[in-house]
Amino acid sequence: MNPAISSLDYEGFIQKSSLEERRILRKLNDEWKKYYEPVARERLIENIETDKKHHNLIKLCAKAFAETDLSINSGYEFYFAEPLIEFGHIEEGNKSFDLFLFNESNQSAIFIECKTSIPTRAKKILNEIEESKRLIVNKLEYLSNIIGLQIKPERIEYVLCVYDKDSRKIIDSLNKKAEKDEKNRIIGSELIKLWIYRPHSQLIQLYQNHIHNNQILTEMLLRGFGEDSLRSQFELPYCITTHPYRIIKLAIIGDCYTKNLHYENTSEPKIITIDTILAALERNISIGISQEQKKELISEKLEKIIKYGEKYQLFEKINEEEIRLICRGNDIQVVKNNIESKFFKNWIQEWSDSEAKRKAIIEYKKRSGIQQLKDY
Amino acid sequence: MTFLHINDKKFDDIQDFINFLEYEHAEFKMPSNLQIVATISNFESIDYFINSLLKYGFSIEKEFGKLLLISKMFLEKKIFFYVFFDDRNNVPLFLTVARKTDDIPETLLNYIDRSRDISNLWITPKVMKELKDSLVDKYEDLMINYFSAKRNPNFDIKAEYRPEVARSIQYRGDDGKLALEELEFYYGVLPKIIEIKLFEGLWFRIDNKGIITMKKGDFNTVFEIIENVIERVIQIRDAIDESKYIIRRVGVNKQFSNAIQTPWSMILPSGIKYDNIPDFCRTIQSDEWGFTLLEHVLLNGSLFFSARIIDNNKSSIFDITTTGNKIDIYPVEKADIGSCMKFYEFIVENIDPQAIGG
Repeated sequence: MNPAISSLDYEGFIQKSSLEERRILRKLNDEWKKYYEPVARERLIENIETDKKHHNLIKLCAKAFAETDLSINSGYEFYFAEPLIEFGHIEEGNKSFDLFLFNESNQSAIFIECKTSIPTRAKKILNEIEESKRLIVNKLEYLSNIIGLQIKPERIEYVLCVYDKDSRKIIDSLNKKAEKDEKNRIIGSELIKLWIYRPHSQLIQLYQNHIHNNQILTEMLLRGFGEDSLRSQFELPYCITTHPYRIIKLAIIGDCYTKNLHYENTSEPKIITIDTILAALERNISIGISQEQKKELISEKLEKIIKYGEKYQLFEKINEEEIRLICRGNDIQVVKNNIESKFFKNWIQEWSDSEAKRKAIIEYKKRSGIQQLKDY
Repeated sequence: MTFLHINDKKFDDIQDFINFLEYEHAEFKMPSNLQIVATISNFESIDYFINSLLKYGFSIEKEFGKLLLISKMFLEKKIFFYVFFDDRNNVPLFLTVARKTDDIPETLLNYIDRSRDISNLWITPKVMKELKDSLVDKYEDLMINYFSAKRNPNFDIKAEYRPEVARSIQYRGDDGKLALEELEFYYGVLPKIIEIKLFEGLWFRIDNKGIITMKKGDFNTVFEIIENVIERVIQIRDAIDESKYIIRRVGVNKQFSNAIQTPWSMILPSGIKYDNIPDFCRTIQSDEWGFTLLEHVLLNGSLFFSARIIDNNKSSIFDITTTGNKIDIYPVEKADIGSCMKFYEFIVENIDPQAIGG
């Protein structure tokens, strides 16, 4: 792929071309589009699956603190998800953790990052966590104000939670990092604590060579904390950073449209008010900011989600207050399936078309010996 | 049609009503097509029940204490039902002579399917078999002259012949009692509908949705049977009632709130296997069951499966998580008894007939 060439270049290129050249370019474009369609499908499914599994891991970690022995005995409570996410868009590289746990009795905090797909060189993941840690350190006063208690810097711990299959890569990278830090005599670079989710045993375990400051937490997590010891869970259906299509599916269709069908005495259940969607998002998104800030942040997010949905023609904004789902049928299952098919079709179409145009120009250049697009 | 001649009587106890049907009303000929539709509900009182009926479009024609005469228009004619609201266990029992083919499904069954807080009295295949066995033990001369039965190959139920085959059987014949026993033994089927004839004067058909078609009298015995089924089903309702959805506030100023879902559970002695999941996803979304799987997560190779499910008719939502031998069912905002009971029946009929609420 050549990101320097965009589909806009393609349109410009076409305009300047002769009829014969256009024919060749269009043929190349059609051929490459066919090639890219299955690529796009795989990419989209993979993106959504990764997002789902990531969210699932977040829920499992939070569940361990949903009125459980682990929470009661260790004193740590789940406060909210995505701490400092409100700074995420302010500066490039601002990354936030997935979960924030706090122990009021001794003002200790745990920040948890969940990762589902770990590259072979896990160093990248550890670097990302370092960035998230930097944001925490920079905003510690701000965060303490939100909580209403001073978070003690020496009582902050950072956790990375991964699926069992990825744990080896992380352990190797952590060991290498520890060696390097020791060699460079870097002090104060606290080791990240690793939690491993073992799906076959249905357990979350602390990595054997790691310990938490809290002895009970260490003991219980070394024994493993799993489904057998868990009952309740935090609802957490999605977060601010969840894939926009999943938010559309879960909030707009699964929540708002379903309620419209049952409660509203309306002849047009597909018309959904923006306020209803905002209320659903506010109810379901766990976030650690004031109510007013939350409203503002979620409104911004919803604006983006609506643009995303309009782009793929899933719904249209009929006025400032309402959207209308664009699909056949009224039955919830039919609506969900039709919207899903349309999203997949349009997303694949858009992505493969854009890739094919880039590729067609590159190929055409190669064939006709053009070095630079501007040479043409 | 109003088929009972009650005058100004008032009924406060189900037994008064049964006695009335059995003795005082004996002078009137019992209609040959009387249907009793047993349901189970979470209505806190008869007033909540009446509100639910009115919301759906029923009219309350007359009140006789806890017995109501209600009606609903269908194809320009009024369809009548008597309903007794038994507030000992919040069980509404409907009686009607309306047609089972269209009048009842389009009015009453539609109401039960679509309204919150009310459910069919689902009789699981296992309970149906136990009910049949206990009646066979008690009444020596009992005859079964019709039954339908099913086998799901996923079931951990013994079958002499080809246990891997899914099969369903409809049988008519005066030797139904023996035929059902033979088919249970050789083909591993479980009954869904049975028509039972007692020479003591009772002849009725009972199906897995708790609908009883009376062919011949003796209300006392029929209500005893219904009571027996209700007692078993109430155990599931009690398990469902254990589930909770609460908003929990934390922080020094209680400034952060999160919803906590506490589930009710089903124990599956045979368990759900990884290979069952595609079938589970397909069948639960069929017209027969009418659920939508909004989203699900299945971790490759493990038994972890979780999903958000919508009941298409009631628009109620719940989450499930299973790790094989147990399914946890988490309410979203509020658990609906009808959706939960239907989900329980779905599991019993498709995954594990031995499943129990726990």
